Amino acid sequence: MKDFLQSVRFKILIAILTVMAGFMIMAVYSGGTASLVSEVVSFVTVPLQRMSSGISGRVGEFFDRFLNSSAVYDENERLQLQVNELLGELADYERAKHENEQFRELLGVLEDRKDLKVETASVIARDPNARFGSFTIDKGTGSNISVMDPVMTADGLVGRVTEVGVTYAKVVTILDIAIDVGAYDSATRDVGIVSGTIDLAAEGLCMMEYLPRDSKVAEGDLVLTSGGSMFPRDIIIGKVIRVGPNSHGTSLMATIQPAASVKTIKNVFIITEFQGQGQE
Amino acid sequence: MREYQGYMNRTKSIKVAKYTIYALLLLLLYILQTVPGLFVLFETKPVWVVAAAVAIAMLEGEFVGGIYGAAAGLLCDMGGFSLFGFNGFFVSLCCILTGLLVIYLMYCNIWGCLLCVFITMLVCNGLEYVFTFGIWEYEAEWKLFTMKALPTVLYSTLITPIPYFLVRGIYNKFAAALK
Repeated sequence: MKDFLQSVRFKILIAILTVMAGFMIMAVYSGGTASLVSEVVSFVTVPLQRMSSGISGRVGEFFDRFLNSSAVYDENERLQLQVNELLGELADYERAKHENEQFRELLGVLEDRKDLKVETASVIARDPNARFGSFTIDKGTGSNISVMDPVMTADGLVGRVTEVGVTYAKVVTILDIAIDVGAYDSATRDVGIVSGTIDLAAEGLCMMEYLPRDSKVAEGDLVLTSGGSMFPRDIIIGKVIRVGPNSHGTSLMATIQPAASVKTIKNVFIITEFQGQGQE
Repeated sequence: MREYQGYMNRTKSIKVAKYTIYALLLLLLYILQTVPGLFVLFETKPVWVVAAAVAIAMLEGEFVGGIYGAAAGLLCDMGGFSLFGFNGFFVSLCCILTGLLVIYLMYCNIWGCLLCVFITMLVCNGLEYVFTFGIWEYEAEWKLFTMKALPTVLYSTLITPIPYFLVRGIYNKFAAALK
């Protein structure tokens, strides 16, 4: 052991550990910009990950047909019942259609949003150590993507970019406890903050906090971004599924079912430009 | 003299080939561990590269193990969301200690490897949990350890025989060639 501690090998290993500690210090001050090592390695890994996630997706879909045949049968039965129920609800259709038109007008869906500049990307990696459904996409600064850019799907908001390299970017989702999104309820116009919690994230849900105690927020209400410097206004976040007082009883909190399937999405849009971006 | 030089050159090229194959193996395992939806069990995925690095440390010793440990850790940092270099530091440190343990205290076998992978994963995940969530006292933050970190540790330990026997196969093949 004494020989080892006095050897050149030991000194080299200490140097390696010092370099690792140096990386950590650099990462603290880089503010989400990928380190040189990540950049170099990503040039090799990103194309391979893009290829492997594509292959995995196709192979998975192929085998799912066989593996999930009983599930498909059950689903078919369930859907048949649902169709019968829906036929019974046909009378409500016109009302729902009218409501939907109102919502569309209210929300201003993506095609009406001339202020948004979007870039499409594919999810290429979900790391074992990633929490709250975070993932890596195959586009980076080379495609004008920057740290803090909002990420969404056609269904709704997914999260935001937290680290970016030339060919890749890491995305934290709205299930993450570290994310805060300014939001409002489409029915009552009450504003709050959407964030993740550890308990709800396990169920794929998030919550809207700081709603006024007298708020009329109800189950089924749509929740949208309220806009500002971090997220564009009127992007759908999800639907209220529960409402209740917070642990101190000082305000209401609503449990939100995100509109986007955060944990399983394969393709996303990154909003690279929007009105009010970065303004204080 | 020329014969000796030829022998040395051959030895060197065999070692370079072996270390290149180890590096490619780490890269391949990294790709596998990050593919969305692959090897997912109850929303948990195993960390293949750490198991492979620990196996390399056991068979090749503390020096080579330390280097591959750093590489495996950095790969984890690349895919994960912790501070870049965090896993690089601790996986490397654990691989150095694993190499030393095998030299001075422990047998180099699958059981030793399982134990070392378990401890390495527990140290890395435990410290990451403490620094990222534990000290900030989020509500129910302990659940992240029991429901996410611990299953990842156990799953990664469970799959250890695969990278261990892969690495041992490569090691034995090249050891025979060197003889």
